Amino acid sequence: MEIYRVILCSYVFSWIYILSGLPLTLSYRTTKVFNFAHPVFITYGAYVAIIANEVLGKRINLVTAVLLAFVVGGLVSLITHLLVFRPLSYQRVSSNTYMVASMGLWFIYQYILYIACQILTRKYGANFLSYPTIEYEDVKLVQDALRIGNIPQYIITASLIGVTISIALYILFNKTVLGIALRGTADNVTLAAVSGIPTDRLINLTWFLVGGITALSGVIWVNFSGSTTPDVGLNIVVDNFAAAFIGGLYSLPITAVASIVLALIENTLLAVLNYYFGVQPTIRLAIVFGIVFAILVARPPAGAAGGLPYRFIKRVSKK
Amino acid sequence: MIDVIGFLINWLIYFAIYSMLAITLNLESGIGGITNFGKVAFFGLGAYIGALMNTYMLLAISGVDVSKAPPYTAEGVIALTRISISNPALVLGIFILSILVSFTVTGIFGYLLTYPIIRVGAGFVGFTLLSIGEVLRAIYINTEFVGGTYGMLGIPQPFMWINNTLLSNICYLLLSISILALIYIISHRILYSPLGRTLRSIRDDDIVALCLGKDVPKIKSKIFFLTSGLSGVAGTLYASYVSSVNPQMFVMLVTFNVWAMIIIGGSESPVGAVVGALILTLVERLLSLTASFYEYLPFTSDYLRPVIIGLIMTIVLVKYPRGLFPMKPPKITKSIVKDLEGKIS
Amino acid sequence: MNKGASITSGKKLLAFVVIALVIGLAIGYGVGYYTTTLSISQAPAGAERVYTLGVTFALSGAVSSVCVQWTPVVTMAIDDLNNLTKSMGLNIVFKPYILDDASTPDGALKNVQTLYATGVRIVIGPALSSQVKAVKAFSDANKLIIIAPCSNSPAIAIPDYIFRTQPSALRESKALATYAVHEGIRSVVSFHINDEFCNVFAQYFKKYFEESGGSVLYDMAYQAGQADYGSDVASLASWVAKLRPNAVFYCGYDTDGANVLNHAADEPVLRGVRWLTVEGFYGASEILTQKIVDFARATNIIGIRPVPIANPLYDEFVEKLKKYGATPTLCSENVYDAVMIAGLAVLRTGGSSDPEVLRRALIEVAKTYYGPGGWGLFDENGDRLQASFRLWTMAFINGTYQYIDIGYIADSNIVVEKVLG
Repeated sequence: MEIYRVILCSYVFSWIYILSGLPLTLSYRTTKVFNFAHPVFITYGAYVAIIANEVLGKRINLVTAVLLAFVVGGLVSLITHLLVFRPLSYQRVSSNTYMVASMGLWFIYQYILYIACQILTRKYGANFLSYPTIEYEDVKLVQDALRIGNIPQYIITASLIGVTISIALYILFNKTVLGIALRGTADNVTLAAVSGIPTDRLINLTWFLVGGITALSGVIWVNFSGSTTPDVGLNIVVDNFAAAFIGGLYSLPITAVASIVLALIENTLLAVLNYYFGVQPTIRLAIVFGIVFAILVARPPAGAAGGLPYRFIKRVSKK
Repeated sequence: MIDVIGFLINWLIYFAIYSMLAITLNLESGIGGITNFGKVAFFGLGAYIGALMNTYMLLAISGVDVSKAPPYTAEGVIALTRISISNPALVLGIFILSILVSFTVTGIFGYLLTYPIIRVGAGFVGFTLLSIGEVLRAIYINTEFVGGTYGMLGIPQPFMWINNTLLSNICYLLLSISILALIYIISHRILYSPLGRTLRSIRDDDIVALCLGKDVPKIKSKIFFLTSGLSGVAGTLYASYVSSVNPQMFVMLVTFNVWAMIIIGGSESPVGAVVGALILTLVERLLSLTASFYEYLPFTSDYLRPVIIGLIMTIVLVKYPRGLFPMKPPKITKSIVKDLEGKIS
Repeated sequence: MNKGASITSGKKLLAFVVIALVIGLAIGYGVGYYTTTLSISQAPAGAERVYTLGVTFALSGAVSSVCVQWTPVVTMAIDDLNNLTKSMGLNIVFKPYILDDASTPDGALKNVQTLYATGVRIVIGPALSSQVKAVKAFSDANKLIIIAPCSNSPAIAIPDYIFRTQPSALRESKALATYAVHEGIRSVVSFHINDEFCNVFAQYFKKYFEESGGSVLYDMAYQAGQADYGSDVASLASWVAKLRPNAVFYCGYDTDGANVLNHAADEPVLRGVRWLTVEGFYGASEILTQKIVDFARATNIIGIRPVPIANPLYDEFVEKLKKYGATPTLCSENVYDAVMIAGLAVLRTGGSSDPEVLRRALIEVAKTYYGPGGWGLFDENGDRLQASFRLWTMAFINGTYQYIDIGYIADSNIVVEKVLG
């Protein structure tokens, strides 16, 4: 069985899901908000790379793409927070309200992108609604220098971005005062504020980081996929939510592990099922969601809102 | 010139169906506290049950060999059209039967799902139900019997045999509005009853309710049976109206559109649900009408429609986070006071 | 208590104001529409009459990358119609009313209802067969003429008010099967998107290929709407390595096609078999990359598409389209023909809005219409008949990557005009 390519796909998808899933958990932990605009960060990250590619005459460096995507993704996220989530948070609303407000934002961002794509297609000629793979010049140089040209470029891009961000996040959250303050704000805003932490600014920073890191998964995506469309965020975010929920919307390490497991299920497990058992790939989503459902029911995540009272009660007595 | 009557009829039927979904969602989530992100699962299940019954049963009873002319092929569709125009009693009978069956089956499906709902706990109910919705959709795609990716076609509208299109649409509209009214009354009665108060207490703090002796799992399952069944009925109405079903029609976005309706309208009362459904369905159609205003833009003007809807949603929510019609506290009438006085003394 | 009452009534007031504004906008539009576009029968002599053709395309969502390329085609066709009426001295002006249905059946139905309510009596679109099925009941009940440019589902091959300018997959699949047998291909593994358009092709190709003595060893359908298909392509490679077919039959659109071909180019096993395809990703610019075109040459991929042989109108169409900033893509010639046939039918009836009159005129006009997509003739179900097909591939020619036609098939006669290395 041709397993090599399947493993490569699983690897790239693991990084993509980690880079977009961890920020989702982080944003929920800090703000208790289901951000429906999350797929937009991924899409905008990818499209920033695409637009930069066209503007620079189809020659783009990974570093440029990463910086631009990080800034744009972070800004979009920050604007979302400042314009919508923060005013709502001052009014103590239910989390569903945040969710629907972010849904409204998602419509706006998504269709502004469609409008921009139509205008840009007219200007540059390429079909922005289905854009081919982007090769990063500097990664190519690295490949030539290290003579690893036969490893697909996307593996190197994903590894570089993924490992860098993971190390950066680890150092940030565990070794710096800022990171500890961020974690404190995420766990208990009131206590953090009382301890003198400028919670408003830290929440802004959290949103900026969330958007920026998520956008980097888009940068990997354009290097990997033969065609990028504005729907790319939606397709990826489904697995992000799955991973975040398995992680209990609280634990970053479990979210990361869940992301890797989901990437493996979607790619390797399904390829194996197809080859040895003749299962058609059309049930991929059913299997992913079925497994998520099974995990959630079998081991409800304790933490944010686990089903505690009913686990130990066998029978509710009637009066 | 705009055909106002036609526009109103088409819009109102959609409005009725989405209001049914919104009211039931409001009952289970806004009042009952079960955050249902998988509404479309029940909607889709009801639609498919309605589709299956109204096509296969109709063909089978009329003596058409279903294995040679299944309802997702041209021969089946032609046979269906012929039968539905010439046999009103049969079509109506099967339609009513399909509504009842859809209510029961979808209701039981919802009832069975209460076990996982209670097990996973309040925060994860939404996503658990969402996964069920996607699993069901994948089942539809992979089952040839229900049409697979092709979906099913030719589902008869129960009033198709009336020669006048306007009249048959008006009949269907009246049917939908009556079912909507029924659902509204049920929801209203539950809301202002002891059951409603219990539900709200469970929503606010189910542990306290449990400690006070309320059988929380049983109440949740009863309510979920009712709301799922009614969502299934809405699905059957939808399938007969659009006269085709396809797995693409039952994606997650439908659930979240209904959520938008109840949050914008006000998530604590059926009035809010209806108002939310009214605003969102109407605004979308009105904006399509205005698409040709903006002919000279350098892009397709219809792209602005979701942008404007998104702006309306966001701005309304930032100004009125509890929705446009949040529930007022229930009136303390004299009879309730007397009742309470009797209990205290 | 008083404050609560005023807040609630203030909110209600705002709600009513918002609703009133939106309704006012719509009424304003309605009034504007009425005063500026007179209904055809009421127009006084000498005044310019505007005839609106409705269009519902999937400009966002799954097939948006194809449909956004159709909008310039519609503009071009409308311009051609208006030039025609001007040169004929008629004072009818055609206008398109374009709505986006987001690739959903529900959106298509809502758009069609809205278009009908504004007085439109001919609608071009929708793109997908599932959407056509969703609008069928409305079209039947209201006798609204719908011309779908890209649907090939046999389930809607029914005599009604729905016409399709996309030829049926039956003949095309048969032609491709004939070509495959002619090329000495005896065994095939089928790989396609799990969607009606491609499922129908795969089904008919299998039928005709097996009737001619070939065999389809394995059929693999991948799910629509996913972001990436790398592992499905790897599975295909495993099957090809195991079953050793002579060729792979592939059907997919531009976005998934680019994804699949990009991954396939990395698999040596898949480079070692021939590939056959249909018009699914024809014209897509994201496929004209060095990697994919290399792969195309290595596998000698041959596609078939329903544009007839020796059609100078098609070449003219491609040239003119460049001025509108577009390149031909899947079904774009069908879109052009749909708009032209609709416009010519309207002219033939003198601008009528009567559905029966229009329907008869459509059928009559189609009998003598020949356009970039070939003969417009409809069969008894309102679907286009097509007799000859072009064979095409991708290559690097004169410094650019491009799609080129290398021959044609008419009935069982196969002519290969170009042989590429």
